[in-house]
Amino acid sequence: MILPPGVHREAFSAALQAFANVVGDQWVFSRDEDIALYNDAYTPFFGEPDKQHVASAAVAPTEVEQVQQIVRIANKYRIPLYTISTGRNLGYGGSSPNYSGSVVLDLKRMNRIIEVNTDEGYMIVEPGVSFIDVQRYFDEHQIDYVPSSPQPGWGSPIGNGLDHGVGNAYGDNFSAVAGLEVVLANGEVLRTGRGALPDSRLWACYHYGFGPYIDGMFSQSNFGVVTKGCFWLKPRWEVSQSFTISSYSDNDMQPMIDALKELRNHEVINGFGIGSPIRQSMATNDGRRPYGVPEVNTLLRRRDGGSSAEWEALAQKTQIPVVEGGGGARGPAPIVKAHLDYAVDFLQRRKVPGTVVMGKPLTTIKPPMIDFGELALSGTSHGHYYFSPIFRQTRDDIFAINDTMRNVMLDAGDFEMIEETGWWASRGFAGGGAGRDKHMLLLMEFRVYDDLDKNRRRRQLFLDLVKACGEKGWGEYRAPVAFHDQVMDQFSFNHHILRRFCETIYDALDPNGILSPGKNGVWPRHLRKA
Amino acid sequence: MQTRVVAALAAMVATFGGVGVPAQQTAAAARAPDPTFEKWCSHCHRSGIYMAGTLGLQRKYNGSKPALLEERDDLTVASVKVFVRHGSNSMPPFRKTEISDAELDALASYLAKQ
Repeated sequence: MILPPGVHREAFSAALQAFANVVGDQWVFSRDEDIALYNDAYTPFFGEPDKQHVASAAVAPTEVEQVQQIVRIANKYRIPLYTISTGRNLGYGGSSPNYSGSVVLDLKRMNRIIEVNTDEGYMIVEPGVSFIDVQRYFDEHQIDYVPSSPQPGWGSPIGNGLDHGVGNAYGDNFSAVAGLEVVLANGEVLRTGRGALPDSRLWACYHYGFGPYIDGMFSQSNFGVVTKGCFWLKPRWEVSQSFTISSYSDNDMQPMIDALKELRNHEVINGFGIGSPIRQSMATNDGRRPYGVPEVNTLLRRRDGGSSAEWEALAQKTQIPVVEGGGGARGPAPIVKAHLDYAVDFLQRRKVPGTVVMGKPLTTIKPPMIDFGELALSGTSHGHYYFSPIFRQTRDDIFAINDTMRNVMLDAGDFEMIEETGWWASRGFAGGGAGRDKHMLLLMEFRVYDDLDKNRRRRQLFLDLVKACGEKGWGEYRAPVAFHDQVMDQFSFNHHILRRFCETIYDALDPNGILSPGKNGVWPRHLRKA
Repeated sequence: MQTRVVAALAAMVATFGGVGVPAQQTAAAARAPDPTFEKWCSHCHRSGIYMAGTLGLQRKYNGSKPALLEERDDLTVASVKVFVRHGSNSMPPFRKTEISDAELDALASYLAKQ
């Protein structure tokens, strides 16, 4: 067992005993074998235990009042806590703390679905409730809403939403949050939005309270311990259907994007995708299916990434399009049909170049599962983590970020990663179901291997990508715990005022620095670098 | 070629909200399933197109052993406990706040009896 830095063994033992008095002996974990369960199962530092982020103990309450007592005890003994909901944020640090030696505040046992209101379409849940739990509850009670799950669905609406995660119904799941209950570092309970009215019946019905809107301050944050969340729900859609439009000319990408964007802005389609199938044809990263065209790697390994003429020639030869866009709609069948009929007619009227192919209407919705089949079959035994920057929905930005990333990989001599990664565009993330997303997001998978040297090189590549992309305005939407500081460093406008602002609030709320020190690059005063 | 393109785009556009195939109940699972297996293991270790655990074990054993845990007759109580508490490949370990020691005892007995 390690101790929290600067905490004496006697004080630590006294704190653990005090925690046990609150939650019961069996829900304080301090044996090495139990603490090891809180390590990041997908750590980028596999085989390098001295570099891993590890906990000193864990405590698992079931009640808000217990959380209040735990933070008061942590203040008394200066014990850093690290809060997790279900601890399944795998690929972004899992349940491991930013600050080694923290005691994990494991909220998995706070697992009540407090209310599902089918008239208004909202739910109020605790942090330990997973998407799978929500789906089971909906199935059991024949509730026609969807939990907006990512895949896999073992994470929680609260944990995923607070980390700006993406789900199938809402896209941006934090946008579905309409009120939180938060235990502050001093042990007080705060309810946001309408929840600030005593015994409010409108907590989940309106986003705002009175005065500043503060829900966002508790996302990707260490300003409090979120113990309840109100989420708006999307109804189960009857049908979803998508179409594609493809072409063999690079110049067709921008008119395609323009048209699809207009359809999205007018809410005719609920999101759009754009890609370059020939450029992506060898990529194995993140579930893509390779077509297997070896010449692709020759072009991608060149500094210039290949000219349009070369790609177009390869596209013609292989009959794999050089540009492909697509959009979709979901909802009642007649409405979906009307939207897509309009979309196809619109593309023709606008003379958008390319061949339109309509997909089949789908009447099933993939439930929350543990959809890690790709990982199970990939060349790793130890999981993965993600580089995930945000970029613009324009042809120029798509090509620019691909050029930047490819050159970073070339500088590192990592041809294997170039091959795995291929070339990025939107996948399905543009829109993501929310309909008004104005960004693209890529998820570049870094697999963890038995080869420790390779893992070290990949970590350096990750940091090089963070820096190179950050300098061009492509910051990440979310990051593995091990790299929070470097990602936050990119958000440097006006001498890092974003971080300084957060530090000011953190210091005011949590002068002893007990809540998740270092989360998203925000450290207590005594742990800040000069 | 057109089919391949459509399939790729369908996957791209429908990443969120695509078709799903529910897990099929196996004959073995139809008899008195263990609640912990149902809650925690069935999402990965039943048959179906998204089953990461079953896919991984199919690849590992290549037919020499059943890929479905509930069809295995060589699992021991001790080995089930090791896999649950230590994980294997991309399967993470499960904490005691997820599967308690008592639940793990019952789960291990259930799978060891297959």
